[in-house]
Amino acid sequence: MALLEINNITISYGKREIVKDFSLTLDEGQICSLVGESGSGKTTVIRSVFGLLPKGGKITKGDVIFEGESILGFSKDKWRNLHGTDISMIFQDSGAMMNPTKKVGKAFVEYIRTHENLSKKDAWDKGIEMLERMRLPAADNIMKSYPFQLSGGMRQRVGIAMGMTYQPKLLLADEPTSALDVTTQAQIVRQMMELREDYGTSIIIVTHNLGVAAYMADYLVVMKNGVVEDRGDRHYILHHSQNEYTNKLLDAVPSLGGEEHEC
Amino acid sequence: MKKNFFLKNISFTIFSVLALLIILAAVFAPLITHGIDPLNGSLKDSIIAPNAEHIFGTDKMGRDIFARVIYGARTSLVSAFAVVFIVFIVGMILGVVAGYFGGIVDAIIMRIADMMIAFPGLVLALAVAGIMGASIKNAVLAISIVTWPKYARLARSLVMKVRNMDYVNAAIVTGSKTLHMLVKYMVPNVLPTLIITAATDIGSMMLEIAALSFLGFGAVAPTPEWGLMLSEGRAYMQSAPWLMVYPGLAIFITVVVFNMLGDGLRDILDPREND
Amino acid sequence: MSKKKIISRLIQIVVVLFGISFLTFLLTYMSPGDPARTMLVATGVMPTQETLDTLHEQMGLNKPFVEQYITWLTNCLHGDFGTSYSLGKPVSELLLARLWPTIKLTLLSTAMMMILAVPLGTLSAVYKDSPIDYIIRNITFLGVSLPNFWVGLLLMLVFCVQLGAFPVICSDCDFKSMVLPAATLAIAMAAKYARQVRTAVLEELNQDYVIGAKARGVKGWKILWFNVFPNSLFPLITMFGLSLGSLLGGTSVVEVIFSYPGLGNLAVSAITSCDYNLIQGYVLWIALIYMVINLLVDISYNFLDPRMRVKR
Repeated sequence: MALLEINNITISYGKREIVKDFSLTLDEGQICSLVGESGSGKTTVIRSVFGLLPKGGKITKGDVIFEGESILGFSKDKWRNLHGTDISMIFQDSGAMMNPTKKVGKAFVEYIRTHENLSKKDAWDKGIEMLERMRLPAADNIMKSYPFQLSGGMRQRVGIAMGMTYQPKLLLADEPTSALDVTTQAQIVRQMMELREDYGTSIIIVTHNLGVAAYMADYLVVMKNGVVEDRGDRHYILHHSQNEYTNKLLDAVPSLGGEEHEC
Repeated sequence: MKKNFFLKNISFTIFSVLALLIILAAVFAPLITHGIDPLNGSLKDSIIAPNAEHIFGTDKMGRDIFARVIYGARTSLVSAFAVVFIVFIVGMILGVVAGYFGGIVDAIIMRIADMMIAFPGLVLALAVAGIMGASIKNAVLAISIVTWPKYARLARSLVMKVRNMDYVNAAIVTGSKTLHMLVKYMVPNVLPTLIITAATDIGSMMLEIAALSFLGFGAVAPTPEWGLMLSEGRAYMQSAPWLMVYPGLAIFITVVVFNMLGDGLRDILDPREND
Repeated sequence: MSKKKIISRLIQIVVVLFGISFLTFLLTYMSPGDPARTMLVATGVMPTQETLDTLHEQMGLNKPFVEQYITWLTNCLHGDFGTSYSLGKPVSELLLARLWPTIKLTLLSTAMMMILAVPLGTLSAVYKDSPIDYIIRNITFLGVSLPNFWVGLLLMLVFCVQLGAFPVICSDCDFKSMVLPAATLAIAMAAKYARQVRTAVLEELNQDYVIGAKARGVKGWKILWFNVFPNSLFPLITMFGLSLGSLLGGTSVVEVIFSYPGLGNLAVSAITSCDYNLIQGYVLWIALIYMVINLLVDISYNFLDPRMRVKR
């Protein structure tokens, strides 16, 4: 049984259809990537899978099956229990996703104590342990810092550490490397790849960077204006796709696996 | 086209009609009150509860409260509009001049404005009105003195925004006279925002004038003024509550109507404010 | 807030006080009333031209304006605001005696206001565009249009005169006699603040960290009360400081209605009896208190908000 099945969904805001007839099947341990420019609807897709569409957004057609159950019928409480445990999400800037007036540790403790009946002290220790497991130096210092005091890459790694606390079956990553410089990008990408090796996590990564997508994903979906433009495994997308849009995106990637693409 | 506009802005339309009614009531006060004198009554009619003849009752001097409330609209409207007009003109001129010329002129005007703004308005208005002596004119002046800086600051900031735009500099280089620059380029630029501010301020100006009159630093007896009427009615609270119910209601309704009107106007002229 | 900024604010306060003192002194100088006459009448002496002249001499009233102003200002700087003409006591002493009751009233009304405004504004923000929001917004709209002296009179009519639940006149300034004046002030402020609370909470609700917390599965009420709500207080603190001014001015109306022995009431009677020394003292004191409070609020804001306090 597949971990996640997205069957032909249409997502609308009021009468406007943002995403049309989108399907995707994700197996355990698989990494899949949604690629497209901003406004292509890629973020909307994972937000709907996560049950966190902005106000007014709704899945108006089709179904999403997670571990054999339709998520459309999930109650608020059921969602809350899934969020951050079985399904986690990492954002473009994980630092901005934390309350700026609270220290990282406080947010971490708040999160852990939501899902587990731990004392503040134990939750704190668990947070430290997670940060250390993600090989973050000076975990104690990080816990005692405000989000804005950390560098972009550091914030992202803290975000990943938080997201991995309960070893989710599904990790949704929304442009996780877009705000970072190239070196840090590579670091984060590698770290996410290791998650699959270490924990068998399935990942959907949303990105406009086809280079990152091709490096990480087994399977790619190219989106444009809310519809699927092209799809296939990495080899197909990189080497055999006849799709004009896919090739245009490929041309925009400066260097990929040794091949030189002229602009 | 016209019809469409009024249908689209129903609340604005309703409240402009209501505001118009209040203004008309003030203008045609003698007609509405059938010529009852708001200033003189006969003492034998003193303190009569509302009845068919005196629908709002009478006060201790036997004056008809209904007539006094209607005539009171004159005082309230005229003084509130006077304040708004004064601060609008003074604030705009000083603000535009400060913003356009900059330098020492700007520094002097704005430091004075800062001084007024750094200070609780009603306290100063109280002191000014009190020291100059009680009269509705002095109340208007006092409130104007503490309110103009708000308009001057606004006008100045709007002028500063366009002061160094290319088209302004081009006009200066091609030899436009300073006065021409101010009137043709600067003033039109500040007008819309200032008008919105003025419209939304009318209601609170009415409240402040009524408050000063209530304390005895505005209208003087026997002028029919709502704040003053309330203060006169205070002593008869127990025996004649209508003395304070109707004037208060009149202030409340008028202020609500003008506040709503100002809000509606802002929504129409400045759609960005709408969230 | 840097030290430099605080110093420049302190300088600004001094400048404003200077300007205010000049303005009020100028106004009293130009006003038609005669302090000497006021003083004589207050002490029960029939003013004659002779006594008036001697008193003018004594009080320095026939000296040129600038000299009078400088003398007065120098005395003020030494803490001597002169003697009240109508009450015959030092101005500072009179003001000091009335300061505490007004502060008590201000604090109680602020507390009442918060009890009303915070839940209303938060509710209205959380349920934006729902019927609850619509109702609250309209109530607050009506609230800001209410003349507070009318509210005060109506409260008095209902609770003191009809029900007899509270004393009509505040004699010894106990809690019971403060309730109605405080409520009067609170109602008008609450309407204004509920709208500001709504705006502030809405602003925070739209922040990314709310989505982040939801994504971590944190309960909605915990996000609201432990994150959104405390954060939305930061801008409100500043607004509160600014509106203290209107509160200080606004108390005079309410204090008069309820015969409350506070600063505002004293000021009104000072103005009625042309007691210029007292008026000037009052205006300067209020200005000083107001600006110092605002400065403290700004400093505390910087201290409370880690985004301002902590270096990046």
